[in-house]
Amino acid sequence: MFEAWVTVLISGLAMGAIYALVAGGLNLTWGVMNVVNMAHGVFLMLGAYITFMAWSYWGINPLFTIFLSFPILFALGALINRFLVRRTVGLASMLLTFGIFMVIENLAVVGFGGMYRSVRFFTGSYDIMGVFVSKPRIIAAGIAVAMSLLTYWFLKKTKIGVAIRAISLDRMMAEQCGVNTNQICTITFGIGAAQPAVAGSLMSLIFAFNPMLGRVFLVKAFAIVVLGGMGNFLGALIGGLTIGLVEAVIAFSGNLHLSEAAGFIIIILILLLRPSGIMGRRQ
Amino acid sequence: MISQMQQKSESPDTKGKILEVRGLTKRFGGIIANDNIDMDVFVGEIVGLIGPNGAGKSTLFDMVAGVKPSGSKRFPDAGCVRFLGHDITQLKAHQVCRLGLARTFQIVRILEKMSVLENVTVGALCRTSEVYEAEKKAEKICEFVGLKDRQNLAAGELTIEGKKRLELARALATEPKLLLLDEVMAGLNPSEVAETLDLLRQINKQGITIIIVEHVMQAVMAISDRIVVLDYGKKIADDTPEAVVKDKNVIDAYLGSEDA
Amino acid sequence: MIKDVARSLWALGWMGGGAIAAFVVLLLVAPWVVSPYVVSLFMAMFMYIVVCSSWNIISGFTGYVSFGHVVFWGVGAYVTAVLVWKFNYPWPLAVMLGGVGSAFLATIVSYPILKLTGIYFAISMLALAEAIKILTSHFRSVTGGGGGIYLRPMASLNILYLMMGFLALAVVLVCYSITHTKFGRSLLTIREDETAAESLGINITRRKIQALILSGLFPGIAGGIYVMNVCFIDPATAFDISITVNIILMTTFGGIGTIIGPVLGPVAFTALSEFLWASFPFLHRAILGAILIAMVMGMPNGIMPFMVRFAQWVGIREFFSRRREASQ
Repeated sequence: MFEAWVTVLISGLAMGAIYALVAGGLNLTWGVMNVVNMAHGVFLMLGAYITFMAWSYWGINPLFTIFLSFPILFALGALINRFLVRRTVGLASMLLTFGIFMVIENLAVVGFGGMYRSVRFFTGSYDIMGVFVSKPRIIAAGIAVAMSLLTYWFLKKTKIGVAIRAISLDRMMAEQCGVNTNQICTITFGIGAAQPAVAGSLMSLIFAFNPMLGRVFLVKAFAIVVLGGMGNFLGALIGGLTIGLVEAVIAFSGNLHLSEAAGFIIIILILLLRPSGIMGRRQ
Repeated sequence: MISQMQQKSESPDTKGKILEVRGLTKRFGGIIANDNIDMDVFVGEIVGLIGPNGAGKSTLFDMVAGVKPSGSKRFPDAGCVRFLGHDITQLKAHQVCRLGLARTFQIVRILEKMSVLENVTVGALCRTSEVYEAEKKAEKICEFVGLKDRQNLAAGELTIEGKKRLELARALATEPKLLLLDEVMAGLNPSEVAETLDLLRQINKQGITIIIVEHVMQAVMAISDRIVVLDYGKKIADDTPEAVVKDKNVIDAYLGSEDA
Repeated sequence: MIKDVARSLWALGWMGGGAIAAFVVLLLVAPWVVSPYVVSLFMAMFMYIVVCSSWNIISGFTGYVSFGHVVFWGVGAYVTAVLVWKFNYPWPLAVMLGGVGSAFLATIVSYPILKLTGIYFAISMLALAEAIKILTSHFRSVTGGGGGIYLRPMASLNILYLMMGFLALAVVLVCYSITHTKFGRSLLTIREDETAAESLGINITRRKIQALILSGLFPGIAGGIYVMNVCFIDPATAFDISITVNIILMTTFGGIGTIIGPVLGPVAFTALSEFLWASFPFLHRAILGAILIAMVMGMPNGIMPFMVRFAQWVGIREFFSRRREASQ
């Protein structure tokens, strides 16, 4: 029984690490630019398809495909920001990005077909003293954590990262201090699209997907960002791990549906009880 | 229930005291905005509330009127506020307004997309549930404050003088017994200030008590029966205008703040 | 208040009254003239007029943009379906109770959820709809689970069509009337400035709750009528986020915060979406998405500004007065 629980906890944390990566991108666009990106899920879905295509057509090792999905989606995100999102914030951005979601998802259904795909590259699981750890999960989680930390380092230590954080605090002031906000926002949106794409690439290793993949993760990503506190980059990591754990525990207790609902119930509770997030300062 | 409360409030045991502030304290994080303030206002008075920037005047208004200051809870940390004999410390703004206490805001809060008349109508709806009746009353008030010729403009199109006047009109429409005016003369030219002073005197003659926060010193000295001075959240003087200008604490506070 | 409602209806004048009479005549005549297919198209249009106008009460007049309004429609549909399927209620009663059910949901969530504003309110409504969708799949014994509920046909298309038509008329008149009452004025004031509203004696908490309940009531009834017509409901349909987006899309197109906007939007979009379905069966969602993008970029206030200019030119200003113009 103990081993079973450890297995559940590890697999929950692994999923949580990937959630955190998904939410990290949303946190950037929402926290920095005040763009509520409803198209977030389709970036994730595109990442998964890039991995699938590269693996099935050219036989590229799926782990290396993240070097494809990151730049491709970064470019797509930058273009979308440059031509569409740039001047809209708040509720208008919510509608606009939902439009983008509809267009991309529909095109994906036409282009890729509605059937489920999967990348069966890593299979089986490691058995460590009776604790079973699924190989694809643990590999994906490792990369996801690395990616999240890399982004965190990027934001803390690099010049662009500092500019991004400056905009998230006070856009006007950043502009006054010589930050080219348009350019930085384009980069931010690019990273905000590339991060979930990497998460999508990693997810394709774990389960089968179709063009609707992003839908499930959209609201969940909102839940994580709200849980960690909007604009709080470490908060998103912790929020992601928390939701992954909660879901795994509820699912293990025998209730798949409720584990799905957990994220949504958490988001409502957090908004009501602690609107600045678990990591945020109390107002 | 409200009318019962009002009847009770007009009983003689309030001894003509319309507002009574006792030991009011409000902190924002480490800053004390209001520090143990006591203040009385009597029926029919005009009281000036002055002090350097950041002395806590607007916070005092917020606490009295039950408005939530930005980034804080609604209620004071200590002390109580009594209006017409009942405790209003824990009441919300709309309840306080119903009792007969209206206010204007330092940074005008007019409803920009509505017309001037509609703005005043919203105030008048505090006392009636018929929009038609409220509109009739709003028209009268617009005429009284001199907005009649502008009453069909969108409120956002008014000049700053017009907006200040509109806020005053809207507050009057709620039929207040006590009016808290937060810098209604800031940004006005001298002739507009003189007009506003006239208007305030007329309002006062109708039996409405007024507390006025103002930076235009001549104006506040000219109109107030009594002046209360705040500095760093503390009350440092409470006397007639003539006495206050000679008060050493007051002079220090003003000179001190200008030096800084 | 009743006087205000009466006065506002009187103010519709012969033009307004004539328009209503013409609508009723067309409504009654249509089933004999056009094919059942067109009748069901009309019915879908009326349904969207009902939900858009209701959404407009909380989001347009009060300024709380709901991204989960489908939840009220879905709950209404489910309450009706379950009452008919499990408890053999007569269907007209079940439809009405669908409205009661959605209004009840609005009542219980209103107090906590309306403490949130802006994006946070929008997202928590979205989360509410998703959570209810999953809970509906979960409680299999009551709701039939993810497979949904099949009903046997009980009411004829024409009857349901007429119900939906009259419901749409009623909702539009309710929206029109409340803008002329103290309640409506309070909502508009809340939208503009909550602090000012409260200082003017408006109990903002109570008004917002009332607005959300009213806004949740009608979609529930519409959901009930819908489910009696298609005789099938499942969680994926009942709580589909696309419906919420359609509501927002149509109302924005017509003009948020106006009376006529949530009527124009559905009329235009039902026609458009029908055309797109027929012409581009595989790409119609992408095209709708592109239209949504173009609308946000090109005319954030909807078609209303153009309509206002037209109306002023024609000379009917009352319907388009400045107060109800779209706000950001």
